[in-house]
Amino acid sequence: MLDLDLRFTETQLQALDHGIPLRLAVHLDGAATDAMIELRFSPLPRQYELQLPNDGAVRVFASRARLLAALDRVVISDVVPERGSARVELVSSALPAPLRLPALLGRDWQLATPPRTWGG
Amino acid sequence: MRGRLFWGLPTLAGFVLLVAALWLAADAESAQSRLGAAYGWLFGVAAVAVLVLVASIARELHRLWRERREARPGARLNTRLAALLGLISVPAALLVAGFAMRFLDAGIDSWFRVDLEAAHDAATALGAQVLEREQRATLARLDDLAARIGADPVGDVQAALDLTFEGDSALVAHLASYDANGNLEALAFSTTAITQPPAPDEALRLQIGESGSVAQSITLADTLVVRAVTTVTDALGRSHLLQWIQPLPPALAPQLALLEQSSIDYAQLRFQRGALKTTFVLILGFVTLLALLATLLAALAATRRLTQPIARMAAATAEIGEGRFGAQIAVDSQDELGALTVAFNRMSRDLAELDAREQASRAETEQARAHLAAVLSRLSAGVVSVDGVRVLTANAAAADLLACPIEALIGQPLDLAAAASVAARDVIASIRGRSAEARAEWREELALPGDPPRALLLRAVQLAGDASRYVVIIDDMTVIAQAQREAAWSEVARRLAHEIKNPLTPIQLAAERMQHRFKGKLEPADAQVLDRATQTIVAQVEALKGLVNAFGDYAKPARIDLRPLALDGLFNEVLDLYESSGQCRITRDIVEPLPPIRGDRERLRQLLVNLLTNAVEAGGHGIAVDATLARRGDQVELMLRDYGPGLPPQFDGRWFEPYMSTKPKGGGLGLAMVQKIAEEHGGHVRAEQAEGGGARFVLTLPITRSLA
Repeated sequence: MLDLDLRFTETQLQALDHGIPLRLAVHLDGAATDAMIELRFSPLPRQYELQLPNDGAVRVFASRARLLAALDRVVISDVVPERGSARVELVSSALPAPLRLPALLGRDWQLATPPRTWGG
Repeated sequence: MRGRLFWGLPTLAGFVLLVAALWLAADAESAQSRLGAAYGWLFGVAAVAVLVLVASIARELHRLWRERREARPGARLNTRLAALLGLISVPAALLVAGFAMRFLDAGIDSWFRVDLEAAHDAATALGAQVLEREQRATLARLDDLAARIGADPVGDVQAALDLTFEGDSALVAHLASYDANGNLEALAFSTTAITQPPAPDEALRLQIGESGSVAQSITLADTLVVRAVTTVTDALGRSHLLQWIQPLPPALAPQLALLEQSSIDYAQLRFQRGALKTTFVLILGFVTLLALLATLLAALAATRRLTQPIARMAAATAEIGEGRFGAQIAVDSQDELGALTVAFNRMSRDLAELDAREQASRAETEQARAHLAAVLSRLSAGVVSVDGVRVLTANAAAADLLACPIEALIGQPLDLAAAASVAARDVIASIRGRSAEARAEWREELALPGDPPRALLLRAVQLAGDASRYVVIIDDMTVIAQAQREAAWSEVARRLAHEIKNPLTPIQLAAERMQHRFKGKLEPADAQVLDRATQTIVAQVEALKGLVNAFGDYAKPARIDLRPLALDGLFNEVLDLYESSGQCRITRDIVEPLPPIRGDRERLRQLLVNLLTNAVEAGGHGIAVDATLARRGDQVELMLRDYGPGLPPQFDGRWFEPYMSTKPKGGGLGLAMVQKIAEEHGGHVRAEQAEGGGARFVLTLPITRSLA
């Protein structure tokens, strides 16, 4: 389990509250592909959902705080090397079309999470 | 190749820009992401395309500016047309774009009207309440089940599930119980689509640990279901985690699913309101920019294509203006410009033909003028043309006759020409006076004072069409008179030879026969008289024969044999003859070698002999003579100066005519022969008094240019 210490901007959180899914790409050193995590909000049940990378299972949370708290406990990979680094990025291409250009150019759409290193 | 690249790149750029704009437009309307990671590339390529178009236009504008600076034909027209098209198209495009942006902004704003938003929010809230009610109902049923399990003394969970399933089969889809370790321990389900619902995970367990039970909505097999989870401890003290999966009522499920998706879409749109406007403005900007740049580029290309024939025609016209006729322009269209080009080519060809004919005519005129000038220059008569103001033309003979340089006549005002010499003054005055009478033709004899005095004959003809213009022919009557006298003397000589010489021989023979017949028959005194008379007759007959022969020689037509001749050698030869015989004491000043002349050796020998004999006869035996021979320009000048009595006071040009002599001996033909031989060789002889006494005879003969 990796403590990614994800930090979202206010714009990103507002986008999540407005039903816009946020897809995160977790890049681990040595991994062939990025692990994908997706966060979204369902307005009718007023619950947040987290889709995990490994089994594709969806976890449901009653509040955004619980969702964000759960992110810290996400298992990205079953096998974690003794040392390495991980980098998390917001996948701007997964955003709705009108938001892609601001995501490309604006700082509000840059994930504030710094690269995470361990073992070294 | 460069041209293809020049037009290929902007065309490709425009195409790319158009595709990018259309792609963006299509993608912006869709909620799904189809461009994905290509979004950045798309903007990059579009930006490059814009740069290519801008660079192409800048290059075209620079070329236009350079052509204007170099004042190339058509550049100004090209600029004006391009500017005109730009002024027409750019504001129109900007206006359309501005209105489109305004309507686009209003259109997007209309999606979020207050009443629509309120209705949507109310619908969402209603849906949420319905769903919450379903969740609460499911949770209540699950609590009932948990109560039954908790009250069961044997803790048979499976039996409790089966019983519940049988009782509420219409409301339950899947019932499951998990033990404290999360292992499935009991199960009851009816819907085959939901045979393996997800087991409560760690996060759900935590929530249950906090609140005791949880109800939530999840999607299973594309169906929205309610999931309720709670814990229960049975009578035996075992802990169970119960999960109830219940589909929504069939009457509500589709509407709730639709409402859920609609709520998500509307919320997304509301959040993207500003970004949507930006995107559409961007698309519109792309399209407008494409239209503007393409219009400008097309305007520049179109005006260049339109003005190219005009520019070529202007260049060709400039060539024609500079006198280079015949320029042809390629005809590359069938429109009015093409017809104009064809007409221009025809005009250029016609001009070239006319120019060729005019040049040929001018050449003929020049040739005729040169021929006339050559004829005039060879004429012994002077020819002068005048208008009322100045001398138009004059030939060399006129300058000689008027004793002034030809430059002082040609083109000069009449007053200046009249000041050139006395002869010119009198001739110009005569011309002016006669011209005032405005007669078509006139002639006048003009006596000029001088030594010798001369008589000129002026004959004038008025030029056609201009009363003030005359051609005046000037003849030297003195020369004509001399020629007439020479002709008369020739006739005299011929008659002498025929009428006198023929009877002389019979006279001589008769006298000799008479002496022979009467010799010895007469008295000595008579015989002596007869002898003296006979001798006198014979001697006089001989003298008459000599005189007649001399006249015969003078009158004989010249038969000269001109050959290259070293005059200095011949001169020395003749001088030696006279010096060795003691007839002359000669002082020589002969420049050697002199360029040869073309002359008849014997005729020139006779000329020299005549001159030396003339000196001896005038000054007597042993007279001192200075002999000089030198080159003077393109002539040789031979001078004999004697120290005799000199020329008689009345000596003039007529003394070179026959029978003019002051000497007691001779027939008066010596100097006449000298002049005749000199003229036969194109030369001239003159006589003058020498300073310090004596006479000086100067002979000038031309040096043949090819022999010089």
